[in-house]
Amino acid sequence: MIKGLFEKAELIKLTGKSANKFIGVHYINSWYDDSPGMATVRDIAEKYQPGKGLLVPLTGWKETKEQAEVENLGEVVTMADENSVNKVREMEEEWQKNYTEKYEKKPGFKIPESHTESGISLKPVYTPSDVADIDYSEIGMPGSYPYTRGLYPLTYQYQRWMTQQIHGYARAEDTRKRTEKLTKEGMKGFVGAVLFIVPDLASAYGYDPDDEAAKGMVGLSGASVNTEEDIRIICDGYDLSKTRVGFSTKITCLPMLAIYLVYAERQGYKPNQLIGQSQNRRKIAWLGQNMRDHPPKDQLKLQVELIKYCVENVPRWNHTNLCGYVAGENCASPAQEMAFMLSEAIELIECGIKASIKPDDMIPRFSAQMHMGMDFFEEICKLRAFRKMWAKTMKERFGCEKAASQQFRIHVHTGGINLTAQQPLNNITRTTLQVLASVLGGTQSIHTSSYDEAISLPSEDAATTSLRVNQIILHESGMAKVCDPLGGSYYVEWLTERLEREAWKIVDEIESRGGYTRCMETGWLWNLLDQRIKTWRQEVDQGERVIVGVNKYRQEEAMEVPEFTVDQEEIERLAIERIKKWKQSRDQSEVKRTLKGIEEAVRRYESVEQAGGVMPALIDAAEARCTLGEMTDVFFQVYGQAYPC
Amino acid sequence: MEAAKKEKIRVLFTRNLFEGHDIGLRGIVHKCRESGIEVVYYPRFKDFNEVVKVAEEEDVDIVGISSSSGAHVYLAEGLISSLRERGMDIPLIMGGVISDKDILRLKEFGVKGIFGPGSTPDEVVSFIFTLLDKH
Repeated sequence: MIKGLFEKAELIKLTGKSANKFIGVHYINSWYDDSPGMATVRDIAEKYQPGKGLLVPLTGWKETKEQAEVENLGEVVTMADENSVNKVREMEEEWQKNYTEKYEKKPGFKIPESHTESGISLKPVYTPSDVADIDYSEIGMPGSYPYTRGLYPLTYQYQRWMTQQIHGYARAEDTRKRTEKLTKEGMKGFVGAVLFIVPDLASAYGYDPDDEAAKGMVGLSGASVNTEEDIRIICDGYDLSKTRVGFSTKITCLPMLAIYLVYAERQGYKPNQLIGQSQNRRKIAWLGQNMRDHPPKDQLKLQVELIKYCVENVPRWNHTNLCGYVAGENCASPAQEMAFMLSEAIELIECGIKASIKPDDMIPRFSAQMHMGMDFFEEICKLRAFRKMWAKTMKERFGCEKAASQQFRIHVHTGGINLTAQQPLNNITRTTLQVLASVLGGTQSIHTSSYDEAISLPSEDAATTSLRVNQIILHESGMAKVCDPLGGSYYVEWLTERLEREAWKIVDEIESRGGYTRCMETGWLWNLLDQRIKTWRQEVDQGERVIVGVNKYRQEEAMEVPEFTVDQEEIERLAIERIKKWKQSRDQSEVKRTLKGIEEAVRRYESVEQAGGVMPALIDAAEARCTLGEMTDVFFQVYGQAYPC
Repeated sequence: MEAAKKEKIRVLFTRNLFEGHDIGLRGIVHKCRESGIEVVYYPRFKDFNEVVKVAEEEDVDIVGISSSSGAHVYLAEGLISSLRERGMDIPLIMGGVISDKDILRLKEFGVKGIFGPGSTPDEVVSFIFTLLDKH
């Protein structure tokens, strides 16, 4: 919508010679578009309204009439009338004069130039004049398009956010104990329990515990989960139609889903009863965690394969968990994180369409893991702005009519990068701020990092404290009484709009560079993040970026917290024993046959249009009791290995 | 020793295949290069002999390993014994998420410098200069 202090919102479409490209899918998106058509519109605007940028009245353009079709999009709902805004501007000018005079005289003081984490310059105060150009229908009511203020008419008054703590260590039985403990302390989804399991280093990288390459890595950083038996130990007794199950898997995402589906079917569940999620976002893990994987194009094909299978067979399953988290952990700014997520979604949806999946069938099952950093207000605005961008993209670009396609459900993971090993109890304060920002941003779900995570995996007590942070905010702070309590704040509304614009610029840039996957292949994304990492390090080392307890307020005497450890060698021995027994118990010819079946299906799968053949082959193999490592290995044999650096 | 004849100090920095964290290490690599140290960055190794081979071929003065996923004791033990088998006396330093308790264990194995959370790239650089001066 064209915004501004004008009576009508209008969409411009160039016609005739200038119509090199359709314009006006979204006003901001289009404005920064590189297309020659948009350049013409910018020229026209500059001629008639020099320096005003987006604030372009369409009336009175001779050229426009000749070159453009102007489509009326209806009334603009302004938040202040022009007369009041002019008065506010006068007040602001007066204030600016006063504060400049007053503070310029202060010895040794310079009025600071502030900016957000995404580099957006800030003024010391915001007023109605800053939101005068914002169309309130771009903000809307909670539960109405474009969902800036929340997905549903009532937010936490009707349904609290989910506390979904990802967990896992040692073996399946140890992890199960942790699940039970956290569930007892209040970890839950909307309807039932949450089993969000992080696999150990060996299984995460696609090796069974008895593989020579897995030596020393079994049971570390997660749970050893490689077979249906391991999944059974974790899931037995839970009602799988009400329990949200997810494995934090990247390169092993498809085989893990296959094993879980076989387990669930053997328990008597139909695939359409199952709820939970696959991460299906291997590319960012490949880029940000240096994870072994195939070339990005093959990764993309496998992502589409999983989407296609889930849409057709496991319709309640969240097939893709768009990941801003890993980007955030690699120092991506909030605007970059938003752009990466949306760019990946756009590419996956376009590929899905090529694979004959209807947008309205696949889009409602995208979920997300967004990063939650420390720039409190920008992080709140990030969630608000991202919902808006998602809704617009799905409606305007993909023509989605279903509300569920336009509603972006958010899960937040509080930043690991913000945790410090020094004075670890300070981390409770950090996560409290992050959970608060997530709630003020209207998230559906939160994982709260534990205060000891810069030292070890979370201890039971530390993980319980993480849940308590959520419970105190929910029950004691009164935060949940009102929907989007910061909505209407001059600053928050201005920054939400401004951040959205910043993110669209990056979305457009990624698209003009050939899309998300292409930007990974060329190293453009890697370099972008590498630059951010370098800058972050310099700022910390030079003390420009204060981290309490690290480069300011350091303490010589250490603050001791108990360190959580596992007996790695013993866990490895037990895991090897178990998987060897499992492998002996199978019909070996079936194992061979089904692994061959995977290989053939992978070889046949040349382009996304042919999606749909690999998952069934994996399920055959899982039925024949093939392990995670065996199945993953087949993919590496066919596609080979690639690294981002 | 050979090291003294070379114009610049050469350091091999690496981490193992399973290590997903590298922001700390990348900061150190940048800092070392700025300080005139030649860095051989080997982004991942699968087995210890790879590290030994690179260290030998690149003629490095020191090997640094980054570990933040809990495998540091296993890695130190394995690498030091692989280096010894080959008769190489290259000092090993480590950094990452390593607890005070494990720092003592690693020192017993003969790891020369250990840089836990909160260590700065400057500390690593000056440690390298001091260590090789004495070496």
